[in-house]
Amino acid sequence: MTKLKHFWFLGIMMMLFSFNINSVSATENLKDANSGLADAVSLQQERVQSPGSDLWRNVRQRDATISGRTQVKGLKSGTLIDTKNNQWRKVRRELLLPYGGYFLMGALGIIALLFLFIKRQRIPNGKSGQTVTRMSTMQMITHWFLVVIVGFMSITGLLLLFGRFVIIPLMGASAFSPIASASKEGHNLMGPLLVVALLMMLIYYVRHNFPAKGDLKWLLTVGGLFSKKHLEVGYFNAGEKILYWATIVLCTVLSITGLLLLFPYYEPTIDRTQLALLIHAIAALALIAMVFGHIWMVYTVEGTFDAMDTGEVDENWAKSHHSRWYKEKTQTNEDDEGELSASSEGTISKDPSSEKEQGAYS
Amino acid sequence: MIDSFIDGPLWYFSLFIFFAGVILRLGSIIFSKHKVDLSVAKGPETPGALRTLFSRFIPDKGLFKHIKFQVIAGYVFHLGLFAVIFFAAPHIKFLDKHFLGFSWPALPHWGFLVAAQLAFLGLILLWLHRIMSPVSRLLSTKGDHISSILTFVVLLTGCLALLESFSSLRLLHRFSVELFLIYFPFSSLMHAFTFVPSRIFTGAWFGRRGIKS
Amino acid sequence: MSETMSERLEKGITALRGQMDSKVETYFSSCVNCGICAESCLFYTETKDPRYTPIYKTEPLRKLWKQEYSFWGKFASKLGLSKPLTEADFADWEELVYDGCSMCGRCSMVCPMGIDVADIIARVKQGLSAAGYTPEGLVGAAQRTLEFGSPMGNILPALQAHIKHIEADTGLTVPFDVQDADYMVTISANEVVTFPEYIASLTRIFHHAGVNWTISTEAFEATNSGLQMGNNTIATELVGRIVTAAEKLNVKYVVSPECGHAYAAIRWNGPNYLGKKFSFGVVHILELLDELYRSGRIKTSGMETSRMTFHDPCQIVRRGGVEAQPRELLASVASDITEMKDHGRMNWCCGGGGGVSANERAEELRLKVFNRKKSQLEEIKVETMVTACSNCRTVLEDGLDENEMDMEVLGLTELIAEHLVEDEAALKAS
Repeated sequence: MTKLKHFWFLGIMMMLFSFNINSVSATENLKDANSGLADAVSLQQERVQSPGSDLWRNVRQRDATISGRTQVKGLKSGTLIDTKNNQWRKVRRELLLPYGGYFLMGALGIIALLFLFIKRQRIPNGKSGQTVTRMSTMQMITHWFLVVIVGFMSITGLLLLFGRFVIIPLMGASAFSPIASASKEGHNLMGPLLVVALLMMLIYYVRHNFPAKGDLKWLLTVGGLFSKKHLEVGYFNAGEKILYWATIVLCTVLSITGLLLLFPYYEPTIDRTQLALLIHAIAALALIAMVFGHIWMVYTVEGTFDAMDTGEVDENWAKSHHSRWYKEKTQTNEDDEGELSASSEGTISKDPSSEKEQGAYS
Repeated sequence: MIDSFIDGPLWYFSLFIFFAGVILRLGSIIFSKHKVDLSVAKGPETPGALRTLFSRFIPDKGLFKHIKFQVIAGYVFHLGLFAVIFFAAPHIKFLDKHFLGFSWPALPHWGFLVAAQLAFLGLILLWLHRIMSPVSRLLSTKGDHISSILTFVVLLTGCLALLESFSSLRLLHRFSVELFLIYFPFSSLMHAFTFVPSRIFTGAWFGRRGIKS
Repeated sequence: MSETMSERLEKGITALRGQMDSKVETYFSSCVNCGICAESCLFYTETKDPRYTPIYKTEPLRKLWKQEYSFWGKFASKLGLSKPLTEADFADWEELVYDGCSMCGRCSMVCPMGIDVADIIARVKQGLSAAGYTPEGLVGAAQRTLEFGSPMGNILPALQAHIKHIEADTGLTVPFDVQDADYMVTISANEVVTFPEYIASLTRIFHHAGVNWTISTEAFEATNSGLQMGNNTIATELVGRIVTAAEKLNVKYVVSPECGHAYAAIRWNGPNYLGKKFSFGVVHILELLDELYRSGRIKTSGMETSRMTFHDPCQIVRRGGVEAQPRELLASVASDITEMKDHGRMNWCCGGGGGVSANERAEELRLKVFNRKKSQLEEIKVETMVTACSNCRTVLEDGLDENEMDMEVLGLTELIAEHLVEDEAALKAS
């Protein structure tokens, strides 16, 4: 069975070469991975071609799609060979794979350089030991749920996209086929959970992510990177808000295109499926690159990770990075106390928002 | 070599450990010291025990709004897991062939997918809650995390092998099931059985005091 | 010094080992550390300190169980991998168990695995007290009870003085040490010292209903510091006094006072402490009053019109099963009753049960967790709170005072006494 598949694959490769499609760049890019295969192809080329190939070439009629007539009812039953699939294969091989690969490598490279050359930003005046509650339990669960889902989808997705060129040379084709099958099943199964994660992201984070006073200034000065003066920042700074909305948009795009791909038979034309696949891949690569950047940002600003670990951040961290939020937070706490003492005079009290802040569940 | 080991000796070994361990632990509950209560009972014990055995499936109304996350995620996970274990077509086929000799209707493929997704959703959320909530973070032990991870791995390997055409994936699933079975009797996974005597003990106690619990 | 320390530790561990039985085995086997019990515990909800999670309070016993009774634990301790119980554990858990738990048992009602957490915490107390880790307040109370008969010292003279007043006021006699009486009444020291009207009320109700009752001068104190400490030797001694007196007077029933834990001590734990079934019955005063009311022996007139609620004492209602009786009694004398949101067997504790109120060190925490009761009360806006436990009553009054809340706290028995149909003929006859 595997052997047959191999031949099938070789046949396609052969066709690709014999029609002299502009495949030079693809072979070049994937040279390392494909060198063995390319040799095999050239060997094959010297042999006598299949006698049926002329017939099928005629049926296929180059790049045009011919529809005939048939009694079979179905969307595409009149088409014997749809060349669009081959065109997609070309796009995937020649554009998506090389440029996607460069993009990811580039992103990783930049992050590596950042890790190496940018000094970690310490908490001004060190840790105070006093903490402020920044994230509720539900906010942390939401974040890490998204991490688990995006992580799993990234790994399986990247295996599906690039696996052929990484796993086969490393572990051989017999190892790749189960990995590819597992990735495909896992990717399809877990995918819909991204929708849940996305909804949770909206429910538990959106209220902190609307544009606010000072966001523009933050953007113009790139977060005060070049000025000594600290900016007044609320719960999230403009950069974090951009990260948030980019995540929401990308995950929405991934969810929609992903669901379209999960149910291809509800999709009347192959064009849209292919378009969905292309968008899906591009959005995924963008999200992955963004996650790299996110990880670096958290690493480089000391004390930031605590917000997603215990939900408590150091007071000095809060004062220096989110001064306005810190002020509001400490002030509302005082207000709460005021209200509590007022309540002892007989009015009903307990500010529900304060309970929410402390109570982790909302 | 390793294939036949996983399909053969290791499989029987893990089954033995699982059944022997569960029986031993339940035995130790039944046969260890019971204190006889000499006080005069206000009500009968058995109805109390039965009531509590079932009433604890539903959380207290007043408490529910504070624990709805655990309750909902808990139900989603446990129901999903139950459906996946006992109503997946390959599982029914396996049980029919090797153990029971009879079968029952399986979930359709899409039903299986939905059940597995629910199980994953619940499990991941509960596990994250275990890690992120200050209370369960303080309480949780290594054993709890190992149990969660093993359950996750078993589910995952099962779903990765969905295509049912690679023996390596099937073996991976089977191997993780074996690890799960071996670990089961020594861990809090035992709650799958011990919740019954636990509720019965407490229910009987409340019953004899004339309290509805 | 260190030897005595390790001796103490050994005593504590031995006491904990003695607590292992099938229930402990089942409960610890079932716990998945979900943390749901935390939300049921007022010490957690009011402080948000995860250490007050009920099941966490059982950690010393759980640790021991794991090490000596579970497979991995035995394995790990053989290899020297597990940390054994230490003095520090005992010291830390003394605060959690005695200051941060009122033994109210709400956690036992909500555990999805059905674990009776309060029961295990009571077992942990046995270990702690055996090792000498008990708060001073409780130790003092226990010593005074052993020596003088009551946690507040020798209160017999005070009781007799009160009774003289009562007899002068009502013209009724309080029967002391009557042989073959139907009911032997016990009281809590708090009722003698702080709420003497309870005894006057009883006298009037029993006279009205024609109950053949008595008080034993040898054993009238019903509270049990031994139970609160988790010291079975003391608890047995104290229950034993009542049992001896009841057997000596050959009474049919012993009546436990409005006090919550006193009821638990004699009704439920007593026979187990002494290892024998009693020759007499034990009833709570509310059970007795309800029975008298139902059989028509108590006739009441007039209704309280102020807005009222009933605070359920944990040991009487949730852990004692006396839930319907107080409601029936209250409804017979009050027209405007509003229940709190969580009431009956899911009521929130006043915060002072389980010996917390006798433990001065815990006062700050106790007042903090009173916020739970406070918000419960604020929701229903009542003028009067009725309860049936003198300890709850003291703690509630204290909490209301601290929060400057204007609310009256009444004992149910007194309220009934105030509404008795005056029987002029009977009064004259006596």
